[in-house]
Amino acid sequence: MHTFRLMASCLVLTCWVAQGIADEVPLHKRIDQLVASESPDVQAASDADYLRRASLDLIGRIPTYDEAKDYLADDSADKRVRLIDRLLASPEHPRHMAEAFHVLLMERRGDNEHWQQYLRVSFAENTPWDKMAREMLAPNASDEERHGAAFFMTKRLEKVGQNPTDHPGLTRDISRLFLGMDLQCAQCHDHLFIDDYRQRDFQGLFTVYSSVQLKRGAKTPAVDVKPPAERLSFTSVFEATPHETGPRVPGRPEIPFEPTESAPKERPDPDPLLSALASDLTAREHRQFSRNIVNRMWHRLVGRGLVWPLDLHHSGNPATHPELLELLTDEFIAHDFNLRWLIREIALSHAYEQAREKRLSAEQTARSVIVALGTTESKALDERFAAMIEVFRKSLANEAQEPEDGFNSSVKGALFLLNDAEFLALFEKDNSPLVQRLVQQDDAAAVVDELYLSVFTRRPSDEERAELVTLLEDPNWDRAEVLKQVAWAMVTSVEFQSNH
Amino acid sequence: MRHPLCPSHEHRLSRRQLLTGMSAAGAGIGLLNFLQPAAAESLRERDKQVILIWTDGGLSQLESWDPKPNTRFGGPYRAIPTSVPGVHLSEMMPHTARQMHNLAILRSVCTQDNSHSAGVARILRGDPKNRGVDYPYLGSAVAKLMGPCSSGLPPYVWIKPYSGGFKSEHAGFLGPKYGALAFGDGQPPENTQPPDALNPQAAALRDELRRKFNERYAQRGRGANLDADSHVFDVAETLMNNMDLFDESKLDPKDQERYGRHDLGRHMLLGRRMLEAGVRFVNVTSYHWDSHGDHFNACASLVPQLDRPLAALLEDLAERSMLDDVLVIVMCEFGRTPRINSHCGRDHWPEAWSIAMGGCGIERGAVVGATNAEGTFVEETPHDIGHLFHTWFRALGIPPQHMEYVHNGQPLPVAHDECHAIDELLS
Amino acid sequence: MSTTEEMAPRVVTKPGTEIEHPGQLWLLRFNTTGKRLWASGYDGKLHRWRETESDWEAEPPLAGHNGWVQSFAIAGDRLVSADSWGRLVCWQDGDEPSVLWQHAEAHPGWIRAAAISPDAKIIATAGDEPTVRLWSLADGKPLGSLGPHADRVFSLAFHPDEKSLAVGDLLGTIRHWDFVQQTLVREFSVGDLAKLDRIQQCGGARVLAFDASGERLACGGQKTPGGGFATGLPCVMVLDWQSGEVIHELQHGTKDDGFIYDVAFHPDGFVMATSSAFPGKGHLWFWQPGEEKPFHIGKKLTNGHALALRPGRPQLAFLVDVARNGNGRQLINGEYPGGTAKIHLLELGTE
Repeated sequence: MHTFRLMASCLVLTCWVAQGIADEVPLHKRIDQLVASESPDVQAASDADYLRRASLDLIGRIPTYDEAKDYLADDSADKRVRLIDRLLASPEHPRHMAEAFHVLLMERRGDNEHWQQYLRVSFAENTPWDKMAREMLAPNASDEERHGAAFFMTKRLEKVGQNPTDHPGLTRDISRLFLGMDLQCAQCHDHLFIDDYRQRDFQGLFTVYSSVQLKRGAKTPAVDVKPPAERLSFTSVFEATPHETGPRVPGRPEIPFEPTESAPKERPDPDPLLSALASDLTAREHRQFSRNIVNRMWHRLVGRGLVWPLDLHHSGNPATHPELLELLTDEFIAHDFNLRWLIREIALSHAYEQAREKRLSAEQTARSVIVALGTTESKALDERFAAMIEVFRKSLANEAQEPEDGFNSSVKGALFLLNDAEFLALFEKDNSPLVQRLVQQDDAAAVVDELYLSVFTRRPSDEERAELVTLLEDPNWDRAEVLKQVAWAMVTSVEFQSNH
Repeated sequence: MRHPLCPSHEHRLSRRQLLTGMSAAGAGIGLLNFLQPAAAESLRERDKQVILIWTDGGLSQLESWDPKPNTRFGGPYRAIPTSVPGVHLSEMMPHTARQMHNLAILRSVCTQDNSHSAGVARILRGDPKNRGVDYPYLGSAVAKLMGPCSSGLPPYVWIKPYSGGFKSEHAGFLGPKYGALAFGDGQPPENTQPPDALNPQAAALRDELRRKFNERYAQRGRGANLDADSHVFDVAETLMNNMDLFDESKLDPKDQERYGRHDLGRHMLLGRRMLEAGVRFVNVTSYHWDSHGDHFNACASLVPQLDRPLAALLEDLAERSMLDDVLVIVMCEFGRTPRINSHCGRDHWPEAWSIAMGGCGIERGAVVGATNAEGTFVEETPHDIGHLFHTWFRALGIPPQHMEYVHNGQPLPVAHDECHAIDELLS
Repeated sequence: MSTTEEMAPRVVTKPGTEIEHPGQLWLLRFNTTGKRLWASGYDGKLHRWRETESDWEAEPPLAGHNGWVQSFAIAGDRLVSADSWGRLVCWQDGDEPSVLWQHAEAHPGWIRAAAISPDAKIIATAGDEPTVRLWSLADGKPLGSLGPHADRVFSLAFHPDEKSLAVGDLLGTIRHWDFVQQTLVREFSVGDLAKLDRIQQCGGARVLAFDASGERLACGGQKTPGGGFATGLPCVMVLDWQSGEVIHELQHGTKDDGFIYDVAFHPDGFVMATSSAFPGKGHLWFWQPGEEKPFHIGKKLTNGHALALRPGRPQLAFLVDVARNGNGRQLINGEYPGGTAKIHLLELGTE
């Protein structure tokens, strides 16, 4: 009791201090103080690049022709801040976040309508990340709006063929995705090369997550828990000494736990054991939980993890900018795990202006292709996206269970871009308002300008313009054919296919 | 008909020629290659290649490479002499027996895993010491260590029953680029046919424009992903130019007869053609060899499906003077128990089994290692899969200085550090 | 039906004597007098036991075969045995058996079935060579061949009419041959007992047996057989010989109970069958064709590979294969254990 009060008061103090500093200097400015320009070669983004990057990162698509034109014409000094705020306020932002977190958390394992509803609602409300994590790790089946959160676990509890339920896999994913610690190799013994990863870390989580099962007969994602009857004993494959552990989050004390001989048939919802572990895992004082997500958001926006690989946080693999990681962690906790706030601050930093090239997800690619080819009105865009997304996913997304945290040029993707009939049909005049419009435009230079701004979100150089004008005016070519092929070449080029 | 060998330079050049005005730099490179076909050809001749035949589930060593007739666990079948005096194979392999002079057998294989799920990956990864990373499968390893052949075809293809696609999980820490391109039931992947509506001029135009946009992008100091992108587009294009490989109507009916019209026969014939076309590493997989019950009838049904096409392949490679450059490996995740269970079956046995190989760098007709009289355990020195990885990498002429990966800045040995090449298997 | 039938010995009432044998065995048969029990082994030998006053005494095995001796048949004092390397041997039964004649290469490979005609003049043999060969029992002279069949032959049964031979193959076809004229009479299908499962041709008409009258033919095997674990339901089909139709069929057990290794008609008309799979799987069962289930199941009598009624006594010899399954090393006292066999001499009685 005594300790608790002390801890609680410390906490209040920390919050107050953090809040106090944040009020004085916004986080993005403090980021800039910690990250000196990486090298003189790296230029801050041009307006066009910044617009494209921010649109892709915050609303999941490139800007429309009109959005680009307006932004480039805007001379005001605070246009970047206003852009970020406009994008974050757009209904496209929570939709993009839902898509991105679906890929991050489910890693292309599959989908579920209740899960999608949960993600949509959560990001629309900007639900704090700690709350989301608790909802996923201790799902409440009676909360109709948010019970889809259970899909994070239920999908992983599905049996594959004759294999037993992959409880070790579930445990691994929880530590990987929520704590940035891949404890896979610590399942059977202390990690051979990472001193921080101990077998008891894995087993402390496993004692709880191995007791989770799919709820029988449930029509929506839901889990049941058969609490363990005793503390979990385990031995290393290398030595015979037995150890035991109760429920425990890595780096935290064990959670008081009374082994139950016979569990009550109906356990409360959410399950008390899952809740206890989830609360400890997401606790403010458990900084690794916050460190993981700020590092992942930094990676998502800036193009590299402060800690890399994303799921190998340990003392032997320190952050490139340790102070920055701690600052982001402090501030994220102080701001109540507010993801939208964190994104805004990172997006306003110089580091973001110098972000590295990033991969486009299948969803970003599909939506951007449709926008580039002139379908910009939101309803039409959504419809076309819904009709096409599976085709894009099949060829451009990673295989199930493979994190999409790096570039993945694939022959499959190349063949798709080269030959897929449905993809190529998007460039037909009837399907592309852009091609349709430009066919009727006589002024070749104007055609080239509109093409560049629509597809590349920038104006062409004089050389680029001249080159395409020559081609467009070549009497041996059919103008519509040339336009189609130019648009295809732009869309399939690396400039379009990456977030630079 | 386009010759399956190396048409890509020619093809690319002809596309470029249509676009003389726009493609000076690109055409230059293409032209250079085109003007030196002899040099390209001699490069190709030195290409070492691999074909791995994988009998998934576990081929019985006793009914193939290491028969123990008239012993307690020997089963009903006989041993027969082979083209190498003194070497006997199971009577289930009469055709392969006549090609024994082109093969070598390691009869002292002793591996660590008796489960399929873990065993397959362990064997195909060479079961290196645990470094906390997933090691690549043999095909991905060779793709990484040796790269594609000069044909430009994907370095690692996997011919298998059922579905195909791009199997990045084989690549382990090397990354998806080194994964397998799987031809499900010998069929090409999706989207290898250019759309009908695309005429050659338009196709050449769009490809040239795309190249141009990428060049410009690179000139602006961008394009961290440019090389990888160009690579996959080149591979895709090479693949598209080799679609003849998949056209079974072009096959010699005599070959079809010799290899057999069952899946493994068809797939091994395709495998031979992939080697001829210049694929670095071909994995031909057959499933359902896991004969826990009614094993001897299973063998009578299954082993001939390996015997005939394997003999035909060895014969063809030798006849085409390719055998010196093609390493042929026949293996699976483990052997089968000497004991015959009460269901007339044999279970999983990693303790003492055999792996056969031949061709490139391998001593012809060698039989190395032995099991005891009843075939239960290895006599003298057992050899793990790590020894074979070392042996094969040596046979392929991978220089010792390349025998190391670098992952996240850390050097990682390409095979188990405590194993070594088996000299007796090397020529 | 009559009360005599109800009183007939038709169930196992006592486990009876057990004979243990250090190796695995394929087939079990009594000689004509019922005083000697013969079995063939995975070790290429013929094993035999003679009844003494208190027990069964093992006699020295007969060597000369190779591989597996999967099949043998007895008529009077003659015993013919066949092995998986193609050798066919005719023995003079007795305390010191002697070889009367033999063919080292009666077939080019595995002989899976050998049968003697009811008049004890002709031997039929068949196996991996898809041709049935006929021999004179007296001197071993080849008398001709029947076939070729479409695939491996698993089973042979002579009909009491002294001119018909039923031949069962891997593909689930039973052929009716006139072995006197050496002509094919007709073909029946027990196709459900065979299946091309993925890349493996599985199952087949594994065993055949006529009833005493020759009106019915029983065929044992496995329904919808599969590769790998060779799972499928143990199944006996009973065909009406006149029509060639399957008139009764019984699947007994689960798909883990293997396939029927042996089947026979009891003189009282019911079917005795045994299946085997992994240890503890597959039972001995008695079934009255026409009924929905076996009327007697020897639940503890698992892994039977052969059964033989003793002439003149209500006894059934039941051969059990004792061989563990499982992956990996599993040594016992440092030794790698092989399979063994156990023979139960079961007493049959009334319920």
